[in-house]
Amino acid sequence: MSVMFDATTAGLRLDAESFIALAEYATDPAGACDRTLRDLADVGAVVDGAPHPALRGGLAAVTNSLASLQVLVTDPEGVALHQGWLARVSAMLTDLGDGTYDFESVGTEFVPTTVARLAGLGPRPRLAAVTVTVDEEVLDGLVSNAARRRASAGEALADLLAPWPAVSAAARVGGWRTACVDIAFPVRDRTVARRLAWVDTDAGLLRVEADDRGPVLVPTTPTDLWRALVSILPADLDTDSVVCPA
Amino acid sequence: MSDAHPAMGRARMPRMTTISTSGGHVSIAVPASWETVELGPGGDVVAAVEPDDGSRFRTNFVLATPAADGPLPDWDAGDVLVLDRDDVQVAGHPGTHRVTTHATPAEESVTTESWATVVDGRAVTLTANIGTLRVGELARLVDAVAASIAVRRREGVHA
Repeated sequence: MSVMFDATTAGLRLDAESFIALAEYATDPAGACDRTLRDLADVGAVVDGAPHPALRGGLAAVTNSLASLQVLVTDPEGVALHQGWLARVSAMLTDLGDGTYDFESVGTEFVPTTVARLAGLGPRPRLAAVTVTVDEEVLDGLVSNAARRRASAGEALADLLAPWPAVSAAARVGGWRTACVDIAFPVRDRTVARRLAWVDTDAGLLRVEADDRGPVLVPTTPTDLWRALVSILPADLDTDSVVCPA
Repeated sequence: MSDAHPAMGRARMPRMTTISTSGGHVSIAVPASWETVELGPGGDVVAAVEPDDGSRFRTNFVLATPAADGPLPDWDAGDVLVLDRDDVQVAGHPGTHRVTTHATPAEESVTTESWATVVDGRAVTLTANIGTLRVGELARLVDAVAASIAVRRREGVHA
C-alpha cells in the first residue's frame, strides 16, 4: 500500500489498489475497503467521509466520463500505460513505472498537452517520403512487457527502418520509442474507438497506419501528429455533451 | 494502427480577403468575415481575429514585419511546450516554422504556429493562435493562410 497526498497541489500518488478503492469509494462509499480507506484518510485524501475536495473534480471524471483514454508508451527500458477519463474536467492517471501512479485532474483542453508530454512529442527531423510494411509481430514485440522481446523487436525495427539511415541507426542503439493513444466513447447505441500510433526516434517520426498490405510505417511530423491527436478526441468536449462528427 | 481522423480539417474554407502591413509589402489571405486590426502605430503589425461567439478562444492570425537587425529571435523562451520546429520556405525565402502550445492567463490551452523569414532587412512573421481543441478542425485554414504569405520586394533594396 502506497499513498501520498499533498492537498495544496492536489497531488495524489498511489498504487493501483488504492486508486481502485478511491474510485469505488467516490461511487459507493458504503462498499469501500476499510483498510484502504484508512490509508487514504491517513494522508488526507479522504476527509469527513468523502474524498478531499481537491480530488472530487478528477474523481467525477472517472465515475462519469464521456470518453476513456489510454496512452501506451514503450521503449527498450520499459512500458508505461497511462489512463485518462475525459469529461468537462478530465483526469489522468500517470504510470510512474514503479507500481505507483500520479492522479490529477486536468482541464480537458489540456489533455492533448498532457499526452504530448507523456509521449515525448517534440521537434524531429523530416524524413524522406517512403512507406515500409511492418509485421504485426514486430509491433506486438515493441509494446511487449518482456524486455527481451522488446529488444529483439527493436532490432527488427532497425532493419525495417533502413530507408532512413539515421532513424535506423538510432533504433539500432535502442533510441526508439512507441506511443499508442486509444480513445473510446459512446455515441448513441455504439462505442466509437479511435487509435493513433507512432514510432519515435531523435532522427524522425513514423506513424503506424494500415493499407492493403497490412501495417505500414509512414513518415510524419510532430505538427501532423499534434493535429491528429486533437482530432481523435470527441468533438465538443468542452461543452456538456460529446458530439461525434458525422 | 492509427485510424482516420474524421475531425481533421472538417471546417469549410471560408471566403478569403487580403490584409497587408503598411506599404502593402507583405500580405496574407484571411477569412473575409473576420475582424481585422492594426496593432501598433506603424502599420507593421496587422491581425485578423475570428468573430466572437462568446465562449471559445478567438482564433487569430498576426502578421508582423518589424525591422530585423540580426537573426530571427529565439522563440523557445517562456513556459511553452515546443512541439515542432523546422526549416521551411516562407513566401519563397528560407525561414522557419514552429509549433508550440501554452496556457493563457485565462487558463485556455492555445496552440501557436509561427512562420518567419527575413526579407530586405525586415522580419516577416505570421503567427496563428488557435484554441488547442480546434487545431484539427482548423488545420486546412491555417495551412491556407500560411501558404498565402506574399512578400513584395521593396524598391532599391537588394537581397
